Amino acid sequence: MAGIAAGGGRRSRLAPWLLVAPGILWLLAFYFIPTLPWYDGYARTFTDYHEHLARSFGYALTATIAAIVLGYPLAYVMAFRAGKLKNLLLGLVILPFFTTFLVRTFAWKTILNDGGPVVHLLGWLHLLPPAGRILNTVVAVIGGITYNFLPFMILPIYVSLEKIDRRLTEAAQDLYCNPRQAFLKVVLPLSLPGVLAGSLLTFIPASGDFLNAELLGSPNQKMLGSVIQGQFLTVRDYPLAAALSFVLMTIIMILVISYTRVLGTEDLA
Amino acid sequence: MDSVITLDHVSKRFGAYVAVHEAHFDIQRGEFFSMLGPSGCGKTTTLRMIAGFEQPSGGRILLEGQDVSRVPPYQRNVNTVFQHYALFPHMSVRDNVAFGPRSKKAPEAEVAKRVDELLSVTRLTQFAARKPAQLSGGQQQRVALARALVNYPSALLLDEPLGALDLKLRQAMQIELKRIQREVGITFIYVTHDQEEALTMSDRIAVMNEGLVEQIGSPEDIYHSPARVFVANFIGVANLLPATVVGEMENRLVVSLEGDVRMETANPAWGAKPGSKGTMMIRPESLYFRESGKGLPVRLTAAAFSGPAIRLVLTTGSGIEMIAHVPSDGPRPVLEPGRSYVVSWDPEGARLLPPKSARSPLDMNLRPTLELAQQFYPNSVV
Amino acid sequence: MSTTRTYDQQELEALVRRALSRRQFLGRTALAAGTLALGSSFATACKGKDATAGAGASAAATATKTVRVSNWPLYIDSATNGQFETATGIKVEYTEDVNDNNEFFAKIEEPLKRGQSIDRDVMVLTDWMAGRIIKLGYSQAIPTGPFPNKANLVDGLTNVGFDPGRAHSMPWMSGMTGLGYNPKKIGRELSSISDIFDPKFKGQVTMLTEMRDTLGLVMLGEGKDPGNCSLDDAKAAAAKIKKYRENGHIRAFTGNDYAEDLASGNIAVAIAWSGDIQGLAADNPDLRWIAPKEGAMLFSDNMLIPKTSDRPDLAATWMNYVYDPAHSAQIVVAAPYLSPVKGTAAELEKLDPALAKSQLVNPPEDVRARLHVFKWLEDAEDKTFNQLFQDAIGA
Repeated sequence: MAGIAAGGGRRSRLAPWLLVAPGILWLLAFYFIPTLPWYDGYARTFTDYHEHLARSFGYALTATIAAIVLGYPLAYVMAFRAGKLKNLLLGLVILPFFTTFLVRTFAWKTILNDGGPVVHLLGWLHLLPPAGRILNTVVAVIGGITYNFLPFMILPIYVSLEKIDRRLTEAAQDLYCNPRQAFLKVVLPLSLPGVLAGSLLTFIPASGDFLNAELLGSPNQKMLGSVIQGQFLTVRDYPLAAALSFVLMTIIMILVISYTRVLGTEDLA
Repeated sequence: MDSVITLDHVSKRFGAYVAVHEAHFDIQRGEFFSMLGPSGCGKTTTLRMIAGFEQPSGGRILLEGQDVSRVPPYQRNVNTVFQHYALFPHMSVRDNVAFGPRSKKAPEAEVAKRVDELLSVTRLTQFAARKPAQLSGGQQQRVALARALVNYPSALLLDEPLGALDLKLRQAMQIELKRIQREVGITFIYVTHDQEEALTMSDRIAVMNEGLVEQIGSPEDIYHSPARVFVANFIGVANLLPATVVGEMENRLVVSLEGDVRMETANPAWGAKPGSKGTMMIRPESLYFRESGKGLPVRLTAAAFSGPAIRLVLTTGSGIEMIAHVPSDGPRPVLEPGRSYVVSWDPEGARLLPPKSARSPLDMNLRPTLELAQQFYPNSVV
Repeated sequence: MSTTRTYDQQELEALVRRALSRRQFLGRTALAAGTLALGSSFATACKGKDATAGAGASAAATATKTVRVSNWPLYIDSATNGQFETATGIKVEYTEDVNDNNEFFAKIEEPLKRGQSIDRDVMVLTDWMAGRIIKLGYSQAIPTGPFPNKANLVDGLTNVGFDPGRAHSMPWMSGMTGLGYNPKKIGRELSSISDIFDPKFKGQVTMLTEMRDTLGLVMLGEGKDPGNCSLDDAKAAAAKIKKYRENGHIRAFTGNDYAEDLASGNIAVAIAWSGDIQGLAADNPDLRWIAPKEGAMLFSDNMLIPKTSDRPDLAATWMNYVYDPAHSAQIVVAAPYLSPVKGTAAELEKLDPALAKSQLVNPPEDVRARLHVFKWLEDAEDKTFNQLFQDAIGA
């Protein structure tokens, strides 16, 4: 009896490890071992491609901040103010996903055309110099990234706002907070897990993105993703491409871990 | 007595639905005042108007003599203990309690002093560093109380604060609440649908139904002298018999019950006179239960032993069910289900209540909204 | 029978072409988005079909008489394959699955390396890629027996560096890389490669991501011959490109998506493929393509038989059919490039006299004289040139 029970216990403890073992072995064999630093590709990432690296993270960071600035108010309106329109708005947020990433990005090329209405309007408002353009500039690239990842920001924030007990706002107002203070002291801190999740869902893919830079940017806005792609397919320098990918991944992981530490999700019950 | 809060013909409508109709009463300083009624009766709406979360559609609310009808909640010196406490989950117990004083920009030393005081009154000192999620239901309840009381409000508003607790804890918390109220001496306005809770704790009770205040009085008044059938029914158990006034002598009335059984009762205040129809209300413990004699003939349907008393279920000739309590250890007839007995009562132990249709002239105005009310509050007693 | 109908069809196909041209649709980007995944499933599907299984399998395959062709999208008319089936009784399984040389190579490399079938008997790839495949031994000789029309190959293409004597490859179509522009928009005609670098066009110039086309044309502008260039020539050209990229003169490096920008007026000058401009001209008659006076690049896409194909004779029979000048002219009407088949011009004159006069389809002698083919690059050299070019274009 005891023996059987003990055996069962051990099996159940081992089972999860056995289940993940193939995945771990796969990662070790195909990710870790080929990228051990016995090769100068790692150094080249920081010498030859430091500009691309800086752009990747700079654009991703800017786009993430822009997505928070645009996405938070929208998520807030959907969660607290939209009433019957809530489902419609949610649908509209998700709607772009029914077309592919590529087509959506291409659509922006048409919208931001030099002769298009957006450029005309901005020129008319003197927000753009006379021969100015948006397409093939940093603005278009960051705008494209923000646009493409905005739903990934809105939805987690919406979910975390939606979860907040409405009475907490009332409680704060009951305890002498005006609506603005109530938002800052109660709603905002409680929605931070959503902001955190949204930031990660935006920042991580955005820093690996290259399509927006390829399609909406000029050659001076290429991100590390472009380099990786070029090295894999055109130059066929697989080790260098792998090293670049690995560096990108490692930096993303370090940033993500420090970010979650700083924002301290575990503090939020 | 000075009143802390005055409701001056306060009404609240949500579209066509009348949630509160012409509530008009004072709440005295230091009083434990309850609003009691079934769900949908308007008690919570009244409380929310006092707190400032809703604005009255008509009438005025005075707080310490000042009209606050249009003052937002954060500028009213009343605090609320919410139904499910609404504690801030991201803050420790101490920060929750300190929330109000800090919002009012009280000096931190002052805040600390007051928080310590309230934590001690609510016996939470050792839990100060915990998050609400790490506390039991009763402890969370006390945090909610401390968080509100720390502001020394003119009145504390409690919205079914014990609703989420189990029976044992509820009873303990009833005593605890009463103790704290006595200790801090603040006016408590307490909303509940639990009549026993209201009777145990309150100095005065306002019984509400369908947006109307049916009766305001001390627990004894309300229990022994209900003004209307609804109150009689809602508070405790009431035996209700249709009655017609047939005679008047000094300060008593003679009424005729079913089978023309004649009984005497005190003359009620609502102006009954010979010919008036009404309802006789007798509490189960006021019934005398005999094998025979003068009184209303009944049949014994069931008897249940419940400790100090035996609870008898009786049926009158016309099929009305009555409940009687007889002492379990005193002299009593042999109980034999199916047999006929007789019940009677002292004139002081019975009340003649106005008929339902005469309940209130406002009743007629409300009728059209009742169906709507049932949609909003399917459990309400309409 | 009705030239109108032919013209409509051509127009229609030209419209489609603008969105979906034979060259890289969406540039290299589509590739990144989905191809690697597609490629691996393609390879998986091919696994286990070992072409070296033996003569039995080969005989059985011939009995079914199906020839399987991979080509670029919109690179053939809609009638030719059906006519071939009627004429020969051989079925054609024609797939438009070549969108990018590198991408296609990534798909077929593994199975071919292992000697597995890729379920194709003909594949059409650009010169340099055709050369790489021949060099790697992934192709087989084209049987000459069923291919008498092989003699129709134009003289200029009979002997190329990567395939002496055309034993393994036969050109499908050729195209020219020159300058595309809208004279109405920029207010003048262009004639020289140096016009690309006119400061007036700052921020309104695009170049191609195809290394040989862009680097080659810039070299021509520098007076170098891309058919016989040194690494230093390449470095100089790359440095020039990099300089103009960094100072913002070059707006983008593109696949054939430059066409959209050219048509909408976002750009003034593009390094452009002749066929694209012919397609665009249907909607934008003002657009012009020129072979600059310093020269233009010539590229060809070549038919190859994968080494693991078990029906090379059927492949050669199909090639023979499309090498008939009448058939070739019919294809050119739908895909306005340069046919490598002698006598096509005369046949085209009958089908579509207007098109036959176009210099894009039938360039005059002086233009032909200025066309250059990029030199054959050995593998290591190819890597170096590509690395140079990637660096120049900022990727």
